[in-house]
Amino acid sequence: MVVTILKIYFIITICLMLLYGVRHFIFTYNRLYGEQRISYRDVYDSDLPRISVLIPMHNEELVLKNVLEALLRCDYDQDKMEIIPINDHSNDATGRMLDDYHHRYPFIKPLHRIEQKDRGKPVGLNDAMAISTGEIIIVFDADYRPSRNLLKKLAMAFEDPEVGAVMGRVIPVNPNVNILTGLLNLERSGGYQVDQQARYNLGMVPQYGGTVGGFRKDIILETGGFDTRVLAEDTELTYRIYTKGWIVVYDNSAECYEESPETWQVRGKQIRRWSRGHNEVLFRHFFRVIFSDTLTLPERVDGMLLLLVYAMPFLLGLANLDCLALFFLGEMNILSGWFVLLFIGIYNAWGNFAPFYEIAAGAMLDGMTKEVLLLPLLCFSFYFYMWQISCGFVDAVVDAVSRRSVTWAKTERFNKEAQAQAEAAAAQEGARA
Amino acid sequence: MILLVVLTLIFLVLLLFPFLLARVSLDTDKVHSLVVKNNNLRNPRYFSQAFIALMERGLSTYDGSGMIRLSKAETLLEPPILADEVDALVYAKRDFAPARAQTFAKEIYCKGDARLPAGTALRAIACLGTLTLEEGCTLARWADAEREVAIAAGCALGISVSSGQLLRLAPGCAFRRLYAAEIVVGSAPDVLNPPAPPLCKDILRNPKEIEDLERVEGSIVTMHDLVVGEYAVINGSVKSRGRIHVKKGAHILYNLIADGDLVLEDGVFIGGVVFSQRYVYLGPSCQIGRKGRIKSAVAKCGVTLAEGCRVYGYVSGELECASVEADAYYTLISDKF
Repeated sequence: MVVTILKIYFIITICLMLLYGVRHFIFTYNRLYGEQRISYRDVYDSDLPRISVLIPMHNEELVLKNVLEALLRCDYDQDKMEIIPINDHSNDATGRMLDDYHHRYPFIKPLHRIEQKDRGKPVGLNDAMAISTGEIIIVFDADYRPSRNLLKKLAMAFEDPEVGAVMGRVIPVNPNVNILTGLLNLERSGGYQVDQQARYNLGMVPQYGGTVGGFRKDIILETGGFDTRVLAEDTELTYRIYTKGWIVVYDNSAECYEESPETWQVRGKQIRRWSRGHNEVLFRHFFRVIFSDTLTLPERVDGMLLLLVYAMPFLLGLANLDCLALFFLGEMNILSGWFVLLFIGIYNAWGNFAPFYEIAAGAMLDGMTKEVLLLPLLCFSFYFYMWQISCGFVDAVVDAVSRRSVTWAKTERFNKEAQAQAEAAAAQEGARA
Repeated sequence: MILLVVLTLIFLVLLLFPFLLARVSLDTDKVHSLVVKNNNLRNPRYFSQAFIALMERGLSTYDGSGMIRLSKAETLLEPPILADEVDALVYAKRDFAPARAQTFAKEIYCKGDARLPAGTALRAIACLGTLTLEEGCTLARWADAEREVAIAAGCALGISVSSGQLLRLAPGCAFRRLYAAEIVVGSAPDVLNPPAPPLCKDILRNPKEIEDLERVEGSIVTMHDLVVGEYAVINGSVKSRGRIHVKKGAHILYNLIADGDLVLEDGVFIGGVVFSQRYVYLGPSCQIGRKGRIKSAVAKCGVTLAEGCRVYGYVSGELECASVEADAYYTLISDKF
C-alpha cells in the first residue's frame, strides 16, 4: 500500500513537471514565433485618467529623492496626478524629507503612518487608497526610477474597460555586481520578456507584480482593500481581478530599473517571503479559479499552474525523497516500459526545458548574448531556490493552519551610490560637530 | 586503460565546459544592465521637429557655400533645382513648388508653403507653412507641416505624415501613421458633436448584440463577437475579445476596443479611442473623437479610412493602411461579417 502510494505520488509529480515543461516551451515558442499582441502604449489620448502614485516607504532616506525626482520629470499632466509617499513607521529622515517635498510640490501628499500599530505594504496601500483621489492607482517601490513616459504608458492600458490592472517590466540595474545579480538579471529577462509577454499574447494570466504597475482603485475598494494577512498582495490582486471578470495586461515597453539583491542571504529571505505569500494566495484562490465563471479555459488552466509555481519545488523535493525511498525499498522497477519516457521527460523538464527555454530566449531577445552563457550556473541556484521556496511553502501551511499573522519585511537595499553619499554627509556632520 | 582515461577526461571536459564558459562570461566589467531610455517621450511629430532643430543649428553657421554641418558635412541645395534626381538636402527659405516631378533622396526643409507636383518621389519633408502632395507622390519616410497638409489621390506615404492643423487625405492613398488635430478623408460632412454625459461605470457583460436604437448606460465587455445596431447609443466603452461590427449611425461615447477586426459603417461616432489587435475599418462619415481633443485609431495590422471619415488625432497600423472611396470600402468589408 505504502509503495503504491509512493509510486503514484512519483508519477503525479513527473506528470506535473512535464506539464510545466510543455507550458514553458509553449511560452517560449509563442514569444519567438507566435503572434505578438500590441500594448496600449501606441495610443495618444488627451483625456488621461486621474492617477494616484503610491510609494510605500520605510526608512528610505537614501533613495526617496531618486523616485520623487523621476516622477516629477514624468510627462503626465500634474493636474491629473497626485503622489502619495507612504511613510510607514520610518525612524530616519524619511518623514522630514517627504514634508519638504510636499511644501515645494503640493501634489506630493505624504501619508505618515506613525501612530498606527500595524505596518506593512498592504495596510499602507489601503490607508493611502482611502485618501487618494485618482481612479487609477500606480505603485512604485521606493528604490525605483520611472522613466518620463512610464506613467502614460501604464495609464493608457485603462482605455480598455476590461483591464483591471497593468504590469510593466522591471530591469535590474546592478547585474554586474556578482554571480547572483548576473543570474537574477537572466531570470528577470526570461520572466518578463518571455513569460509575461507570452501569457499576454495567449490570453492567459499575466501577473501583476506589485510595482511598476497599476490597477483600478474601485476594484480593490469594492472588495475590501488589500488583505493584510497576505504577504503577496500583488498575486492576490491578480487573482481577485480575474475572478471578478477583469484582466491584467502586460506592457513590455513600460520599463523601470530595480535593484536586485546582492547577497544570497537577502535573496533567500526575499524568495522565501515570495513563496510564503504566493502559497497563501494558492490556498485562497485555487478552487475559486477552478469554479470561476468569469475565466476562459486558457485563463483557468494557466491560473492554476501559476498558483502552483511556488508549491512545485516542495512537491519536487518530496518526489526526490520518494524516489530515494523507492530505490532503497527495491521498488524502483518503474523504469521498464513506457515509464522510461517519463523519466526522460522529468530530467529534461528540470535540466533542459522549463525555465531554461524562457531564460535563454529572453536573453537572446534582449541582446544579452554574453550573459546567456551563465545559464549552466542556474543548475546550482535551482537547489538554493528549491530549499528556500519549500521553506516558504511550509511557512504558508503553518500560517493557514495556525492562523498566525504575517509580519511584512522590506528587502534590504544595496544602493551603494546613495550609501556613499549618506556616509559622506554623515562624515561631514561629524567633522562639524 | 588509456582509452578509459581518455574517455573519462573527455567526459569531464564536456561536463565542465558549460561551467567554464559561464565563468569566462562572468567578467563583471563587461556586464551592463539593459538600457532604459529614461528621457524618451513619445511625439508623433518627432521626426520633423528633430530634423528642423538640427537644420536650424546647422543653418546658424551656414555660409552659403553649399555645404552645411549637421551630424556630418552635407551638401545643401536651394531652389530652383534643375536635376531630375537630387541627392542633397534641400533648403527653401520661402515657398517650394518645383515645376516638374523630381526625385529627392534626402530631406527637404521648407520655411514657406510647399507644393510637390504629381509623381514626385521624396524621402522626407518638413514644412513651416502648408504642404501639398499632388497625385501619385511617393514619400519614403515622413512629411510634416505646421499648417494644413493636403494629400492627393494615389500617394504612398511612407512611415508618417503629420500636421499641426488639418490633414486632408484623398482616397486611394497608402500610409502607416497619420497625426493631426483633424484628419479628414476626402470631403467630410458636418462635424458630429453628440452630448457627452459623465461616464456610467456599470458594465454589461457578454452580450452578442445591441439592438437598433437601443441605449446602453455603461460599458460593454464581451467574450463574443459583437454587433452594435443602427443608431444605438452606448454611454461607455466597448470591448470585445472577438470582432465588433458597428452599424450605421451608432454612437459609442467612449472607447472601442477589440481583439479582432473592428468594422464601422456610415456615420458612426466614437468619442474615445479605437484600438484593435487586428484591423480597423472606419466607414464613410465616421468620426473618431471631438474637435479640440486628441484621440487615436490604432490597429496592430491595418487601418482603412473610407472617404468622408474624420479622426481627431492619430491613426496607426503596422501593415496595410489605406484611404478608400466609399464604394470600395463596402466591397472591402462585405466579407467581414
